[in-house]
Amino acid sequence: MVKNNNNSHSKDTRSFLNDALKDFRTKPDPNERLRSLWKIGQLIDRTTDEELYELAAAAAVEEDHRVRGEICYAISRSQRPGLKNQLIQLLRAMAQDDDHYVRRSAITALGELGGIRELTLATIDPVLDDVESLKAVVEKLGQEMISLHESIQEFSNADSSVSDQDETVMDDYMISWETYLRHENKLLQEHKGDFVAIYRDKIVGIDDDQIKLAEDVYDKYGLVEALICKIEVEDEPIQIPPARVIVG
Amino acid sequence: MPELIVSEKPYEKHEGTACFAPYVNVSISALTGRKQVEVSFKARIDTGADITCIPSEKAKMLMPLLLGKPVLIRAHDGSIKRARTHLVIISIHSYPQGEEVKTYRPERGVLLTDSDIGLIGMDIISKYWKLNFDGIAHRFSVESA
Repeated sequence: MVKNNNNSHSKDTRSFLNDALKDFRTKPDPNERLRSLWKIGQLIDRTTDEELYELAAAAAVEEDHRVRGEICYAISRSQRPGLKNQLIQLLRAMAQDDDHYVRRSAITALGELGGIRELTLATIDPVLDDVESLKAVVEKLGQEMISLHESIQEFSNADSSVSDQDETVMDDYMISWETYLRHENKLLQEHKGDFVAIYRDKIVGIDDDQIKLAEDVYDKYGLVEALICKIEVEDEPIQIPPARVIVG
Repeated sequence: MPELIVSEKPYEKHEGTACFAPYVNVSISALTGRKQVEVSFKARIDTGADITCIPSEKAKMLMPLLLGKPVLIRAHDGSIKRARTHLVIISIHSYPQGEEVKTYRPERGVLLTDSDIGLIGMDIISKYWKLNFDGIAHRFSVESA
């Protein structure tokens, strides 16, 4: 009699489980599917290996994070030596889930199912990924720093080409150019648009006629390398084709 | 009224260059014209050059020259350098006659290159020239203000 009762109870349980499994497979509403999963979770030890694995695989990719978290809990309560490896693989993947609750549930389940080793791996693995990402970011930053340093160096070289020459050559032209720079603000204020003639460290003429200035310089100093330029704010750098322009 | 100074001149290809291109015959002299030396060379019409460039070997024949304000140059690799400019008169020879027909005094001066070919840059082109390039017939014409 007792045996019959047990059999009857067993049949009812199986029927209850089948209904829950069916509901989980067919109900479109996530809330109903979650309720089905709770019921299945209570009877997880009654599922076959095939049912459990199919259920776990389906729930693992559910959109609703509660369903994904719940299946982790259900798995943690199952005692299936034959399915252990497959379930651990599944849980490892879920331990990388975007959702915090799912990750935590998966890691807890891994601890239950695989012991301390799985728990440690599940905890460290995502961190290792972060470390790798950080390493890549640091390397990229390092390269950008080198590139920036080179650009600054290049800019400094371009900007200081005059003073470099001051140290080495400092010919009449450089002295004239330096003189112009010293007087540039005043010249811009008082003679913007005119031409200025500078020879060595002296302003030797200002005129709106460039040719007349040149004649004046030659008359006064002979054929010399004087500077004659328009008094204006310096333009943007000019563009030239990759011909071999002589700089300096 | 622009004057036709180069008429249907064929493109030329020069040593060290990759393709046929429009070249004009050019003479240079010092800004005041006090030092009379015949200095001639070929110059390519180059809209990619903001400023006219002349071969340094040719410029040396006129030295000492008056100098213009040094300019900042951005090369095609992005680097920026400062280069000195020289004040010269550029004379263009007509084609087919071959006479010096037009003279220009680039206000900012010209750059020196270590090439034996000059470049007529936008300082002259955009101010004085009307150009007609016939890439199919490989010929070009220049009208100048």
